[in-house]
Amino acid sequence: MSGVGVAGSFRDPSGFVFTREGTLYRQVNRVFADQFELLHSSGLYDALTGEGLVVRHEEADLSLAPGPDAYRVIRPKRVGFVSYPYEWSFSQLKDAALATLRIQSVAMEHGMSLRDASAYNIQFDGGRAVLIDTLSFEKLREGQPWIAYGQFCQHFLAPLALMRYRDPRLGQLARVQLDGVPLDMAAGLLPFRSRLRPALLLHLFLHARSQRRHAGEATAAGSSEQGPAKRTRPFSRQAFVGLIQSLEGAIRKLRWDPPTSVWSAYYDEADSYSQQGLAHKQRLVGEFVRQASPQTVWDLGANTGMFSRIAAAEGARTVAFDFDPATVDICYRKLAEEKVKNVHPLILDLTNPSPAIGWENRERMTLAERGPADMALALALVHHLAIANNVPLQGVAGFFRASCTWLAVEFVPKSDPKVQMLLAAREDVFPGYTREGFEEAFAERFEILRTEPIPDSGRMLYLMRAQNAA
Amino acid sequence: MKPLFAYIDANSGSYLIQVIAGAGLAVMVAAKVFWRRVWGFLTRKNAAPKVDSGSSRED
Repeated sequence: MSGVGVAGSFRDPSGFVFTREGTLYRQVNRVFADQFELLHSSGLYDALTGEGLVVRHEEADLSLAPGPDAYRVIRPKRVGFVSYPYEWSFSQLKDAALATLRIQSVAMEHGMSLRDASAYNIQFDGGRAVLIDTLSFEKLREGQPWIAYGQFCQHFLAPLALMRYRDPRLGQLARVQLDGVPLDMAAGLLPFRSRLRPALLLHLFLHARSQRRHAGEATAAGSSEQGPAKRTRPFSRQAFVGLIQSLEGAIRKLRWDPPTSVWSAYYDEADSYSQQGLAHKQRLVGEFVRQASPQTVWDLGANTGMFSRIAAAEGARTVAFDFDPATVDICYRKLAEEKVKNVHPLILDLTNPSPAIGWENRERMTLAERGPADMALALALVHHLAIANNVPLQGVAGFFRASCTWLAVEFVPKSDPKVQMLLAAREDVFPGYTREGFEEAFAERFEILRTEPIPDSGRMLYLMRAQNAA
Repeated sequence: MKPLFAYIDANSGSYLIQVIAGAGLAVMVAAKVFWRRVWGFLTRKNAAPKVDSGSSRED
């Protein structure tokens, strides 16, 4: 049986990722042999894996290689859940940027350098940003500037500056700008005051101007001897160190804090319940998770992750999805403080989940392709989908069925103050939104195992198992 | 917007801005190293009485 190439791994002539009988491998091509050996012999691999900055890999049998020109086959550690920069909050993108710069600094100490700085080479594993592309390194080119500088600024600096100075939702630009935010676009969108930061002035504004002015000219890094290469001088090691330090300073100084109202909501997440009602709901969710004993949980509409933590405490690798960048950022920060490692918060609008993008629409996966999860939590969510977004209950049930085997779902009746708030500004065209209608819609796809009222609220909590589940 | 957008490669500009800024960045690194050494020298000097009167790893 031959391996199956991973769709997003085709650009690099040094090798590619493939799967074989469910195991992930990476083929290292002969063209990369010297660099691969240097990665190990220089001590860089050990240094980076020791700091938890690069995923570990094991050597595998060369006969597993599905393609020609194989030099080695390695089996990298698989990350829990693959996520993309357009699903990260500000702090997540910032941590990914700092991890990339730290990796570059360590690489330089070992005589190597990153030859690309794509945000897609970073994943979150155990709550930390790690580089997953072992083939990103090359021998340090003495006297040459950083080949990945432009890409770093487009993938990290520009979106972070836009999120900081304009709107945190601009992280979504990565969905349409696959190779990062063009610097001229970022420079045009950023306010004048951002130019007062010397590092942003240099790495973003002057950089954008330089790109415009010298577009298409050959450099010493290129093949031609024409153009500005003639008048450039060698780039000293000290200048290289200065460049990385300057970028690090620029990234560190970009700070964004969620609005106070969102922070206060963090502490009042439970304002829809009495103290007793909330404690009961938490206990029930814990019981449901134990009954399902899932390895993976998707907490859909997780807010700041109160119930994600319960699933994680039961040992499940949990992904906490919410559409609000501020709540996701708070969730990420609090989890880091609490040292919770098996919850991965992500930005996701369930009514418009991440699509397949890139070459042939196959480079970046849809949400559905990254599932299903063993269990989903849909707590205080259905009314947002059914009433605020007009999704029929059958459609909601169908989406959940495609996403999980076990489902803990809450039904919030029309009499609930939160549903009344949703109905205040729209006509009630939801006659089927009743407990009976809800149970009927979900019973078509799930077996309802438990139905529990939440005291003092009129809300109901259900544990369901997918029909025809293996 | 420039014409022939599809043919424009921004790498040259990224390369050149680094080269231009390189000298200044190198001077900043050198200044930082120099300042750290000065600061280290001064703080060692100031810390010396403590070492004399107390526990003495540096003695």
